[in-house]
Amino acid sequence: MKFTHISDNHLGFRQYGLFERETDFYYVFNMIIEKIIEEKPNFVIHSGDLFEFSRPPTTALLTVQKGFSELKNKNIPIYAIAGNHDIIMRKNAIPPQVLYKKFGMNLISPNNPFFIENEIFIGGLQYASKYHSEFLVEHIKFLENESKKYKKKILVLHQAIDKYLPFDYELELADLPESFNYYAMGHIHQRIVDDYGDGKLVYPGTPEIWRIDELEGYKKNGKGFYIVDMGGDIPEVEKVDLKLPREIIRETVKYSELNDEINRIREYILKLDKKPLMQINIEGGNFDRADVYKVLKKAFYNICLSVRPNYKLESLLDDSNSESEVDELLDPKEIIREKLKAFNNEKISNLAINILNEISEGEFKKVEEIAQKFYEEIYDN
Amino acid sequence: MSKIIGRCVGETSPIEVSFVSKEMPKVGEYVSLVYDEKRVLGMIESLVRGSVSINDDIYDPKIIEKIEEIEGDDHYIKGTIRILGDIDNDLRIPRTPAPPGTEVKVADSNVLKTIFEIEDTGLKLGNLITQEEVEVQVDIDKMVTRHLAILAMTGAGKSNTVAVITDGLLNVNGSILFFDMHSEYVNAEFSNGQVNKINALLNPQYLSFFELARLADISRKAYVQERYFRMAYKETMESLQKGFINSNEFFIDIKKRLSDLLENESYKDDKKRITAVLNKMNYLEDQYSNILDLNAPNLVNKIKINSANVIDLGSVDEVASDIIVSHILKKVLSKRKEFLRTGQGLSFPVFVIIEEAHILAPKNRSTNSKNWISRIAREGRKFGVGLCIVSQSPKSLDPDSLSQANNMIILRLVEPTDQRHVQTASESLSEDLVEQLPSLNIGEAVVLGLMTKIPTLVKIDEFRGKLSGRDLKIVEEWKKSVEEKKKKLETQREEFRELGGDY
Repeated sequence: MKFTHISDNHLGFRQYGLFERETDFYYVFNMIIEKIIEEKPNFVIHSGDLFEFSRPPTTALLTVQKGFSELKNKNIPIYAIAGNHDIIMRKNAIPPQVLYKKFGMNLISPNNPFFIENEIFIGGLQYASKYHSEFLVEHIKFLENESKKYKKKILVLHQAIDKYLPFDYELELADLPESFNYYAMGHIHQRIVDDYGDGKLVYPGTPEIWRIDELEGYKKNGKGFYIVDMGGDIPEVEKVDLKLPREIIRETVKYSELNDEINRIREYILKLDKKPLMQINIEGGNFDRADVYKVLKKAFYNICLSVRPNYKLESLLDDSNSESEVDELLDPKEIIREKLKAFNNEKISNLAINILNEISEGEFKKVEEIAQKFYEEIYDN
Repeated sequence: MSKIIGRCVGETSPIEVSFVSKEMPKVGEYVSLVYDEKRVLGMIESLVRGSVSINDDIYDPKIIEKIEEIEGDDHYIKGTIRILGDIDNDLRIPRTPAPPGTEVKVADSNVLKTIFEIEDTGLKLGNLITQEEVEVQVDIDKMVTRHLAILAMTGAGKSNTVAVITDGLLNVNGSILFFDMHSEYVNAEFSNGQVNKINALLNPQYLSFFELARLADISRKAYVQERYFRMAYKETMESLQKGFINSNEFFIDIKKRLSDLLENESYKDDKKRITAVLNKMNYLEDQYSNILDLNAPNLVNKIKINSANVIDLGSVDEVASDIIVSHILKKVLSKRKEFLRTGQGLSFPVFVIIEEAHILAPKNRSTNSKNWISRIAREGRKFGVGLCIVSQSPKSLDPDSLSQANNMIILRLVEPTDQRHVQTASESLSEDLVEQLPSLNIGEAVVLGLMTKIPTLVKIDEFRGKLSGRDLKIVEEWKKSVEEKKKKLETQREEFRELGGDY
């Protein structure tokens, strides 16, 4: 008796406003469906955030429809909950997952809190905000009660637990009952496999790199999903790694070694199948940004999907104190951040900085895309 | 003319007489005896009721029933009276005992009124339990200079008594300093003056080296640790005074100096100890960051006249309370001494109220506060620092400090060891009065000492202002909590369903 546990696909997400990145996310989803069919599990659990928005692009909807139909043809049922990205807090709103009920999806919802599959109890709840935490805790207690007569039980939630995200959580470890064999979690984008209660607690994380700071985790732990064998007393969790379609390169280069480094990186990139995303930091020495930008543009813009340069100049003065001062004065990004502090919103600061980056490089079209994406995100939710 | 309630019998003495009675007087009631051309005031200390025919040797209740039928309620009442003094001669104890057969009369309430009234320096505590029309006042001057102990079990009315006294002192522009262990008085409202809340913040720069060492849990026995701490502390204080570092860098600097010592080859044998000191500095910062403030002013300067100055120790642990209390007591005493000597310092007397005194001045442990409490108990009289020790556990209270309190207000005390302890501490409390202690009702107290001319049983006034330390209504609180949770859950459930959760 085994199942696969996936989560946080964020389909429909167009990273940096790049159409190619949206497609990458679909590609990874299709890859997951393929692998699942290879593995022939008894069922699939999806722990939320299937989509990036509660009104996803039609391509995203179709991609899921196609994938789930294939699973249905192979008689692999899906048990899923909605995550915070799938939900919109509005009267009479329902998550897009509802569309796939006819395609073999068993949607765990407030009205259908649990299913029984092969004598295994599968219960859960869609994402609940901190504001509704008392309801969440009570609902989990209810599920614990209902699951008592089953030998194997799975709890499916899309929540951050204080243990893993101490500053921004909705659920405290103390409120999580210990009687379940498998805690199929979603929401946290890093891969986490932990022991809890009588079994395992697992966050599969995002299968693609949703934010650039997930790159480190990807390099260390890979990205993908889990195959869980419920046969024994304690579930056996097996990791499945995916090879992501597109590389994200993050390099820090000294100005003095700029030319050599450019050649090295270029060589590497030319061997790749797909154009990578690149974040390059140039530091040390005193140089003219515009000149460096021209060099970078010539070297990379044709072979990369997107290049995001970052410059760190060394001051003329040796004194380390005044260096940091000069740096601060010269860094427009910090000034923007400072000015926009009042919004207390990372997204707004990032928007302004991204626009500045593109405008200073004359990419007006990209600016348009970025702005559009920003407002889409706000109004879609 | 007052009623005759009995007559003296047996051998009498100038301080005590026995009497028999047909009436039923009350314990604690004041009586007067007239003999040898004197009017003598006394107080009934004990009473027994007995019957000659119904004695201990009868073992059949039916016989008792028969005797009752024949004799009616033929009981006698015996009691003892403690002689308090000559009414017309400033309550001096008479030189001659009362002759047997002397009439015992209920004391005239006008006489009592003149005894319990104090002009100018009086503070009304309440009324006599036995004669409610008589108001009882105590002498504020004597109360403050000769210190006061308020002892009672929990719930007997300690806080109320403290509040009544405070209000009375505010009425005469008093300056009261509370160490408020349970945040009871912070939000209190008095009719005669303001509450001046003083934040319990200590400035490590004003603390003495030993106080800081104690806070950091460096004991006197750990002299090596103490030496290294002193080295770092001294250097840091110096660079602070010279302006090399600013006050926010106090701990950083101490720690840096300790790390330097750690790396210094000449101290390499003591690495472990220096590390211990360094750890203790981290502990000090973590544990007491809420009470240590490098910009906190000297707390004594914040004490105001005509105010109830409350230092809120509700959220501070016992070690820190001890340091704060001892630090402030020390400063108050020295500033008062300074004022009397040079005219600078604390310009008015202060009445210090110490709650839960058995924690700060315990019998079997040595604390920093204990030294200063007993020091003020001994010296405070001369410098105008009065002490009021409040405790519900007299037996665990430091006997030295307690015996220095010449005035006492004792409310209900049931524990026999507590009673004995109180009795040994106070010479004017007779065993018979001690026996009364468990039978006092809430708000009733034995008042003794120099602040009152004669020991007396008082029903303490009910404090009219606002006090936040009242007992919670537990059953109601529980009920409320359950109902609120239920209601909250219901709203959340409803909202959850309505806002995108109904599918």
